[in-house]
Amino acid sequence: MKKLLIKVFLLSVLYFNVTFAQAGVSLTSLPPSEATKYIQPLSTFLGVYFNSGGYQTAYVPKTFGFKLSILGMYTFIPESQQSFISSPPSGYTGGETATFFGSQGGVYLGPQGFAVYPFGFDASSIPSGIIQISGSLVGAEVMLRYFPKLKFNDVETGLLGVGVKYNISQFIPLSPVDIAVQVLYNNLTFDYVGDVKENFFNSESKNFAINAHASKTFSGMFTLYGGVQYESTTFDVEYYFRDPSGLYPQLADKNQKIEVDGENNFRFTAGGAVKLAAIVFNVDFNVTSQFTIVGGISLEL
Amino acid sequence: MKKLYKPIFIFLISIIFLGFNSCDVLEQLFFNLKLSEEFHSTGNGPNISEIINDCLSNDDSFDDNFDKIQNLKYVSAAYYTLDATPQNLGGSNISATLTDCNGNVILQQSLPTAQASDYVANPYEFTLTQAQIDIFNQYLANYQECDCFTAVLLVEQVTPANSAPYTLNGVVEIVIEVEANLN
Repeated sequence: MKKLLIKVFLLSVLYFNVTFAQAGVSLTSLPPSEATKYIQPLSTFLGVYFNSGGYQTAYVPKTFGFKLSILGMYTFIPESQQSFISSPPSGYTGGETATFFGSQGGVYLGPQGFAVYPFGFDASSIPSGIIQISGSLVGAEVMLRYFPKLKFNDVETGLLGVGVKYNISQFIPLSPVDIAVQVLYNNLTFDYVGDVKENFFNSESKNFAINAHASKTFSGMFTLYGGVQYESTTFDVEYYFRDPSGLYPQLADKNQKIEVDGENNFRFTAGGAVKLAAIVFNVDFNVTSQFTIVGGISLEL
Repeated sequence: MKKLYKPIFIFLISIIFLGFNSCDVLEQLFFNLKLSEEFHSTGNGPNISEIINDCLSNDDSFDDNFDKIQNLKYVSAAYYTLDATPQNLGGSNISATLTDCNGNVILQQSLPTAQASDYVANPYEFTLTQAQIDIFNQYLANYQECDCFTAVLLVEQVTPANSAPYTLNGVVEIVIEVEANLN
């Protein structure tokens, strides 16, 4: 079991390594204004990803409780987030080109030859996963997602996510459902630590969410739950701009910084869980900027 | 009920691993590669003849991915003038020809007449037939055997006739779609 958990966690981190490394490759050819549009759906995805799976019930034990969860997620990238309208320099006519999740990169002919935009990764759906642990006492629960800063080849990545949840229905006599509020904060860093200045790519995804959710358990075994959540995501990226098209000499061969807000602001969640002794299986559906299905398995003590 | 634990557990874990392992899209990298060939021609007329030898692997992006390239595809090509002397430099029977290592023609464009100044900040986009694109793509497909090429620019009856010595500085750009395997 321990080996399995480590493997899932490492896969999760390696998955992001590939994704971010490729983001770096693509961004190096875009000036900041265009890079922002190219990478915004990735910023949104990170927000949707990290702000998912925060709860599977509103019930929080008044005595000590512990939960270890493995979550698998499947996120659908809408077509509108797979392309954007490019704005190449004066004299060029822009058009539709791929975002990070899109397909074909635009090629535009203008006074200084071709302006070439990067391809996306042609991904209309993204599978992902995460592990979290929670501890609870007196109707309050603290959730932790953590991965120490580790170096893989030329990149260093680390994750810290915390959540605090409080059951407010304990103060409502005869409440027919459990009601809780929760605050989540997740931070992922991904830094290039190699020596090649042209490969420089540092990023930090900061994700905040606050939600209210309710649940009802039947026969001590089946739980229906749902909630509304406000969330925000900021993706800070610093990258080396190579300017392969030679169209932005004033920006070329320098590090550029961009701050990209995700488009994820509100989400509605509905799901169900089955508890078999100490094991809980859950599935929920998340209506947000990128529709996401979350499936989880938790060990509860 | 306990008998259900194992299959449900395996099912969910399988979904998670399937998710991680089925993302082939993250193993393929596509990008548009712009190859630029700048030439500087000087002469006394009446004809311009310029020969350039180059290789795809002289481009850093191409060379970086040389062993990972799975597929190459022609996207577009164009010519533009940087500057010309005299400013109204022109000519007839203009042809640009690319040949591979074995001398086979892989790309050819011709114009009956042209003035160099027409293409300053206003590139001339090559229009290739599907057959011509197929020939060029065939050359690209064999890049591991031969990624070098020779470009020949010929211009006849340079005008104005008494303009010697003339100079023509221009750029030919070719955009290629590259599919590379990251594994």
